[in-house]
Amino acid sequence: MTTQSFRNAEGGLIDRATPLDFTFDGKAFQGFAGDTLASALVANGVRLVGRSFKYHRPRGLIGAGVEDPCGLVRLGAGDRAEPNTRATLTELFAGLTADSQNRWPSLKWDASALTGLAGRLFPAGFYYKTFISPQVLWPTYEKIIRAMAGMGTCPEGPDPDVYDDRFAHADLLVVGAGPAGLAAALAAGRLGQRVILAEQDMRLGGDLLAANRSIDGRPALDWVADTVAELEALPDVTLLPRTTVFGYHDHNLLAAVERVTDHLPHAPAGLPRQRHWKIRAGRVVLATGAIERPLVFADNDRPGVMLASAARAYVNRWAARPGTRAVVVTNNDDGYRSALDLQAGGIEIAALLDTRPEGGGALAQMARDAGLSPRHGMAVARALGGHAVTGAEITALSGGGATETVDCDLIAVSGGWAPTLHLHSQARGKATYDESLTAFVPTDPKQAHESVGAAAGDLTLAGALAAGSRAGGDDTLAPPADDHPAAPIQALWQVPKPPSGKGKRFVDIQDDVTAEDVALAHREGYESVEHLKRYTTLGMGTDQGKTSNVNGLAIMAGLRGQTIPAVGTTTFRPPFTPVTMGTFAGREAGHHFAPIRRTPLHARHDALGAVFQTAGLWLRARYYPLEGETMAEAVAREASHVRRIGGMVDVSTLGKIDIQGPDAADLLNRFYVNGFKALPVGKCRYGLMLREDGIVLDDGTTTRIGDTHYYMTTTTANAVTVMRNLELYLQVHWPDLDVSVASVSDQWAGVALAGPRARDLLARVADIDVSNDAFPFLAYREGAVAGIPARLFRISYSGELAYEIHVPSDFAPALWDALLEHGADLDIRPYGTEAMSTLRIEKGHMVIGTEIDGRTTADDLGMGRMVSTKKPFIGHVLKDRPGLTEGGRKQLVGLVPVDKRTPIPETCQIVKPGVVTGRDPVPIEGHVTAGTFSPSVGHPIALALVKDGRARLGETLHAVSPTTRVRVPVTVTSPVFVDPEGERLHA
Amino acid sequence: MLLIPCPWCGPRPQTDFTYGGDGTVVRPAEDAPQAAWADFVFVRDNPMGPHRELWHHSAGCRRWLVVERDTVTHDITGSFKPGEVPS
Amino acid sequence: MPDLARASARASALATVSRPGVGPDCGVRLSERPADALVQVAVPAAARAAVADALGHALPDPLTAIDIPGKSTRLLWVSADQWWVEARDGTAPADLAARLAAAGARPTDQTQARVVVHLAGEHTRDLLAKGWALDLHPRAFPAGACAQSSLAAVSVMLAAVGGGAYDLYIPRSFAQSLWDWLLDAGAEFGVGVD
Repeated sequence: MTTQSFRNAEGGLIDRATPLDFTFDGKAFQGFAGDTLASALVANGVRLVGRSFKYHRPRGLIGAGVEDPCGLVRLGAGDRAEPNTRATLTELFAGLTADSQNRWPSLKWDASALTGLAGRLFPAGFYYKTFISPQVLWPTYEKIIRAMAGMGTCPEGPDPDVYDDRFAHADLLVVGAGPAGLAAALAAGRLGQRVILAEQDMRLGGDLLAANRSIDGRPALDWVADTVAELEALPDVTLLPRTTVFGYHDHNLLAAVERVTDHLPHAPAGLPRQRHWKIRAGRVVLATGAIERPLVFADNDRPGVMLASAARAYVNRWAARPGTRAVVVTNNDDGYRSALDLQAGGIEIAALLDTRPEGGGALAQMARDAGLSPRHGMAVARALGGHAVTGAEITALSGGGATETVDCDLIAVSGGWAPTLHLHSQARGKATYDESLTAFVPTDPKQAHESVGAAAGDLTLAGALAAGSRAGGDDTLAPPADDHPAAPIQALWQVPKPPSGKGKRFVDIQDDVTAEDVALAHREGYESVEHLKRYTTLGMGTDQGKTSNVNGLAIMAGLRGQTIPAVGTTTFRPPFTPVTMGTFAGREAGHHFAPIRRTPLHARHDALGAVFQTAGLWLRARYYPLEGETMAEAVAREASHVRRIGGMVDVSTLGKIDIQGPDAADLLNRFYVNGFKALPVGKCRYGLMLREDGIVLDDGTTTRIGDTHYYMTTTTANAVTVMRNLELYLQVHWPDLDVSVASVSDQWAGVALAGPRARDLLARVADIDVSNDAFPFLAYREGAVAGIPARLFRISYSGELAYEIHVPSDFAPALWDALLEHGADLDIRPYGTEAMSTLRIEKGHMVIGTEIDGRTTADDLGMGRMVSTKKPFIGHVLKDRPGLTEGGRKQLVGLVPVDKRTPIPETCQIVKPGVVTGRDPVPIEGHVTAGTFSPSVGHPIALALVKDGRARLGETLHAVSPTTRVRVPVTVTSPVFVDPEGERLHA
Repeated sequence: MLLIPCPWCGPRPQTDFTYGGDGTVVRPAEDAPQAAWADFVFVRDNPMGPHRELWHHSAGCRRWLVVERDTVTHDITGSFKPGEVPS
Repeated sequence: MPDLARASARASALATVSRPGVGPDCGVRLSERPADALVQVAVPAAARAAVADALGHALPDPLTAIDIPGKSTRLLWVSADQWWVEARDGTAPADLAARLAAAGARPTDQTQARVVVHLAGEHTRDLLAKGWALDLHPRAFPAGACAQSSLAAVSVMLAAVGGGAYDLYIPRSFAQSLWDWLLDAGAEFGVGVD
């Protein structure tokens, strides 16, 4: 166990009574409750935490929070492992295991870095210029690049964790619980508003947690504690720590991820790992703070080069020293505050460099009073050292180029603060360059949001408190704070190379983009910021350029001789920080991926050993295999049994629509291509619907069950579409029609009873006369079946003597049981959707998605004669457009293999014999829509759409599938293979 | 996700609705020439800015409505019952 | 003729679901409450008064549900000119439909199209909020309010019935799936079935 030798004896927001053991790269360490993984590593003196993306350079922590670009680790193990996790945002818990990434064989001795190979492989734009040719070698290069470049590796197995969703509503959403955010929430909460305060940190307080500040003459942390206590007591205020608002979407919908159990060694049962919040807010206060910028100088990526604000955060909040002897370099007053805090935290200040030629405000004076000697006009030209900083080469910016070396193990850099305006920008707000801040500030909000405090560019504590309170609705609540008048910041975008010319000057440290890469992009003409980003990958990493954007575009502006506002910024997009995929999936995973629809007979099918099949959201019984039977055997058996004896199938998934009103017949007449006005009460009619463009939409039967009362069935697939269409035409196009429609798909269950013995069974259980004369084909009757009030239809999909029996859903199991019971000695058996499919293919009946495929007309499908010429209906004009009526269209036909043996797979295209398929396009005659083994004719059959097919009966063609190397000679036939005269269904 | 004001139910999430296309095209008379029907079915403006479109409140009251939405900003400036759309 | 008694035995769509018992720590309690009759009714404007007479109560305003005092009947607004009449006093759906039709309305029996699940308990809103996008805060959705929207991608009717409890009207075919969802999503609060 390594001791925490860089932990100060006192101070910090850590619980020294609760030590926590953890491992990093297999080595055991200890931290305290309240630590992040990053602060615990700092306290243990671990400086080297990873290898860089392209160059495999050693990297350390640069930030202490969301901005850190380098401290990415793989957390956990096995299927729970998560790559690219920020050490700075990972709350320490007992037993945490973390590993560094992108290194081999070890973090300290990385082969790619040692050979220097990476440096040669990845210049700016390497995506575009490396290995463009020869193309055949790309797979080889790709393997090398994938192995060398990139981030962590993903776990292979399914994610074992549970993720959650949560909708929320608030009058006010406050993002960020720093001084501005707390003040806003408090003000709004006191006014009785419904407030949600989201904070990505484990604690509320924001920057105050890491600063020695005072509010109202008291320690700022006391004010934080009081404010949080008051907020917790307000019933309509919701505090969400560990919650990152990562997306700002339309109409004030914000997305956030709450890390519910990530910080716990063992998640309590029932609790999700993370929760995806979707918050609809009346107003949003963005109190997202600001992020300090690094300075660009040679080898500014060496472990030990750190943002000054991060160094002071480690010292103040976690009592952890990121070094023992520091060089502090700043272009603004805030760097002095960091130097003072580091000194107070026990770190020797070896040099305090102010890049400005002179001046400095009140903080500079405080530094001098504390015995520090700022050196003006000076900067670090190069960091020295390899796996850790050993010194700084410092230089005067005014020329000469002479350098001196200062021994140190920490270089704390402050390049000024940039407001965190990502969410503002996602909401389409503008970013305007502020010269006095040398940063972009949020302006011109487009939705109901307001940025306050540092997020708005006001870096004073009193200003943040006042703006937050005002945004929360109370402009009287503005306690004073210990701000100091500051001198202006100096715009310093890069420090010139050292005289030796050595070192890389990184702009985007995560993506290994240097100032030289920016210059190269400029030389090659990639001048716009959007091009610069994509060509160099600047800002494209998991940190999305939080510390690099402004420096990068400022350097480009300098090269182009333009101002920074003229160059502009790239667009900020969600997510603000990476969000794991499981969180987006939320509860819609596994068996909750989509809701499942079950028919009222589901349990009956289950009990009979049915194999189920999805049809949209439905689960349908596909077939009922006997012991040892294959699917093909079962299907052939079931289909054959229906034709020879009889069977019953669950058709409850059909769309069913109740249609009432004086104009109902007129409505049907306008929807179907065939006439419905003359349909008498007690009769069913098969109907075909087109779309307005003349293409077939759906088919089904509609029954007149009363004078102005009809019962329509649609296909399972189109139930929703047809219902919505009826509503569209009734509500929008034909409001003069007096008709009411209601979906009754869930109210009614249906069983089709088919086969030669169907009537025998129905006669046993129904209280109506079922003789052919009393109940002929296409008749409708109401009666009781097994005592259950039922709707009976003499209709047939199988082509056999058949009935459909519809009963209210709760009675369906009783109906099913009665049919099985009373049909037992008749040998009536259940059959599934697959046998139903075989039966319909044998009859040439069409199905949505295969024959009715959004391209076929009524005539294509052989239904041309059904189409009325005497009345208008939906699609009646455009069905006659030239493209749909001229010759050469594909028509529905049957296919039989010439050898009467070889199956015709549904994936086949149809070509003329002798046509060779391969690389070159060939003339296609058509395609197979459905194929099956027909037990009735004793060999495979298929349906197909073939060019001018009805004129080609008897012709031999080839069904081919180049991808599966299938080629079956077939004969074109009528699509009706069984009982073409329809004698069976009229029997 | 848009918040669409249903004239009957008030503001509801976009996921409760089905998009129904351009709300400005008018179904021609049944005896209108083929060209008029082709326009109705196939020809659409693609305006940048305010646009009227049909939506169906599928998970709610199942009424069709006309929504005036800015195609650039997604701002919704009106929502009407069919037949009550101002010109 | 087979046994007519079969017809009276309604099979629940929730016949095979898991039904954990109610423990002391249950944050949400579910119970299945089948209606005797649930009739959807389209009411032409001219028939409104006659329908109100037939029901003994005026039809409720949009987005509201009314339990008729002294009767085990609830009226729920469904859409423009459409309501549900839900009876729990033994009324047969056909009888109710006939009464409504006689008053000039167009009834459609939906008794077996919906599974009614009652939700109660201190975490009911927290559970619903995992899949329900509308605001259920009592200020936004008080007792007597009803709304149709999606719960975990299933279109349902939800009625606030007072005391922080809700009645959920689930399309029958989705009932088992949504029941499973309620149990899983509510695991952190503890879900019991009365």
